[in-house]
Amino acid sequence: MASMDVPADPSAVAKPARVSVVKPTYITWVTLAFMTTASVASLRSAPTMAVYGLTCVFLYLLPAIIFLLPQSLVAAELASGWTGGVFRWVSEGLSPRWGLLAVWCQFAMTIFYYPTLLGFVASTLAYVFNPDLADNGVYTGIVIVMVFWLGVFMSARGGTGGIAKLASSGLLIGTLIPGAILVVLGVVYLLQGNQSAAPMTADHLIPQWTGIASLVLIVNNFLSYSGMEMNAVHVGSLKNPKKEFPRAMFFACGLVLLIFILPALAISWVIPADQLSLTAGVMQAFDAFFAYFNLQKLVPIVAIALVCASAGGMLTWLAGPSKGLLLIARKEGYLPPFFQHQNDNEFPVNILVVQGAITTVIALLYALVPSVSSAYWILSVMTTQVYLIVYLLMFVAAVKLRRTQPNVERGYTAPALSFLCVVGFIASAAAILIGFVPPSQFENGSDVAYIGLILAGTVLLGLLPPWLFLKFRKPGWKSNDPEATS
Amino acid sequence: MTAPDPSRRSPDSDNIRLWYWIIGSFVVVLAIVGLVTYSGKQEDEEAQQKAAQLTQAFQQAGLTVPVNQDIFVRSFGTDGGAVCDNPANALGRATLHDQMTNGADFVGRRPVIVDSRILTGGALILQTYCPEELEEFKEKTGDLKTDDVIKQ
Repeated sequence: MASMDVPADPSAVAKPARVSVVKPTYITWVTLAFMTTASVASLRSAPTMAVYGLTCVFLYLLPAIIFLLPQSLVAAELASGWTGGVFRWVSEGLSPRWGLLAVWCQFAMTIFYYPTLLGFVASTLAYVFNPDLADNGVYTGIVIVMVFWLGVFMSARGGTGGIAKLASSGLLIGTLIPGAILVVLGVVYLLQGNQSAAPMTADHLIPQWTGIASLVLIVNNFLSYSGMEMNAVHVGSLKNPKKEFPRAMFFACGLVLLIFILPALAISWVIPADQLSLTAGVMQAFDAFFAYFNLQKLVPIVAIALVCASAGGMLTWLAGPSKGLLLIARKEGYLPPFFQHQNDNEFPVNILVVQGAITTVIALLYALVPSVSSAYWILSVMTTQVYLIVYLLMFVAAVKLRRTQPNVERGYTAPALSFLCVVGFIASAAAILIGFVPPSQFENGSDVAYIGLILAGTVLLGLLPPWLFLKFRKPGWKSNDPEATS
Repeated sequence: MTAPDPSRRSPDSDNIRLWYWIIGSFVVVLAIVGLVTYSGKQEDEEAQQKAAQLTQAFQQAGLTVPVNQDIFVRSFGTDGGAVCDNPANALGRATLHDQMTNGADFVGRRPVIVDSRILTGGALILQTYCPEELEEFKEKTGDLKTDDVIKQ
C-alpha cells in the first residue's frame, strides 16, 4: 500500500513536502498572484467578448460566482494545508491513483493546447510584419516550434524563480499596461460625448435567451477561469505559504476579473459587434479600435504585448502540470525512471522534452496539414473536457479532507466548504455536459457521432494513459530519494 | 511546511540573466521594427469611397455602423488589409474557429454557438474590399451553425 493510502492522523499537521519545496529562490505572493493571473487571463479574448457588449459583464460575473469563487476558495484552503498542488490534494483526499488521474488530466491537455496558443502568436506577429504570413503553414510551424522550445529552454534554465520573473513581466507588459490603455481610451471616447456602440442599458446586462445556444455560451464561460489552481504547485516557494497563498489567490481573482471585463467593455463602446470581422484574428479589432483615435502606431506595440502575455502564460503552463506529474511519479513510482529525471533547478526535463517532441509533431500537423488545422477546434473541446475532470476530483477531495484530516493546520479555512464544493462540482459537471453540444464549427454531421467523438477523445486522452501507467508500472520505478517519498 | 533555503542560488543564475537580457532586447527590437514597418492603411479618396460603400452595406443589412466612418477608412484602407488575406484557407479558417469561442484566454478556450451578425459583417467587408474572396468564404462558412445570441 502506498504511503498516502494510509489515513492520516487527524491530529497531525500536514507533513513538510520536501520533495517539492527546495527552490533556488523565494517568490513573493504578489509574484505568485501575477503567475496565476498570467496563466488564466490576457487580452486575447477581449474582442471576442466585446461583441456581447454589456452582457459580457454577466458572462464573466456569473461564472465567477459559481465556478471561480468555489475553485479559488477551495484551492486556497488546500494549498495552505498541503504542498504539491492538485496531485497531493487528490492523493491525500482520495488515493494516489486518483491523484495520478488528476495531475495527468492537468498535464495532458496542455499538449494539444500549445499549438493553438502559439498559432495565435504567429498570426499576431504576422499581422504587424506581413499579414500574408498568417496563412503560411511553414511560417506558422516555425514560429510555434521555436517559441515553444525557447519556452522549454528558459523554464529548464530559470527554474521556478525564472519562470515567475518572465511570467510576471509578460503579464505587466502584455496585459496590464495595454489593458489600461484600452480602458483609458474607451473612457475618453465616452467623455467626448460619443454614444457607446453597444447599448449599455440595464436590460442588455442579461444575455439574449435563445435556448441551447445561450446555455452553451453561459456554461462554457465557466471555463474562462480554468487554471486558477494550477500554480498551487509552487506554493512551497513562498516564505509563508499558509498566509501568502490565499492572499495571492484573492489578488489574482481580482486581477483576472478586471482584465476580462474592462478591456472587453472598452472595445464594445467604440467598435460595433458587426464590424469585428473574425477572419483576421483579434488584431483586426485592436486595429479598428485604435483607428478611431488615429493611434494605429500602437497596433504593433499591442501585438508584441499580446505575444509577450501569451509566452508568459505558456511558461506557467510548462512549469506547473509537469512538476505535479514529476512529484507523483517519484513519490509513487507511477512513471519509468527516465521521466523522473530533474535538472539542477528541479525542473522535469525529460517529461518536458518528450512532451515537447509530441507537441512539435502536433504543431507541425496543425500548421502544415489543412484538414488538421480546420478541425483542430475539436481537440480543444476534448482537452477542456479532460481538464474539467481535475475539478471534479479536487472538489470531492476537498470535502473528504475536511472530514478525514480536520486537524491538519490550514492557513486559510474556506467558509461553507461543502456548499462551495457542491456548487463547484455541479458547475464543472454542467460544463462537461455542455461540451457534448455541437458548436458553430460543427457544420454538418450527426450529433450522436459528435458526442461519440468527444467521448472517445476524452477517454483516450484523459483516462487511458494513467490506466496504462498503473497497469504496467514496476516496483523499481519508485524513487529511492528520501525527499521524493516523504 | 518547509520554507526553502533563500541562500541557495541556481548555478546558472548569471547565465540565465544573460538570456533575460537577450529575450528582453529581442522584444524591444521587434517592437521597434514593428513601429517602423507597420504603415497602417492608405487613406486616399478610394479608401473613403469604399468606407462609404461599406457603411451603406451595413445600414442596408440592418447592422450597426461606427460613429465615425474614419474607422473603416483607417482599418481597411483600400484593400481590406488582413481581413482580405486568404480568409477561406485552412489557417484562415482555423483563426476564424479560434475566434468563435468562449471568453477564456488560455486552457479553457472552447467553441460556442456564435451570432450570425458577426459572420454577416465579415462577409460585407469582403464584398466591399475583396469580392473575389467572398464566394469561397461563403462556401466555407455557409454551414456554420449560428443563433441570435447577441442582444440587439
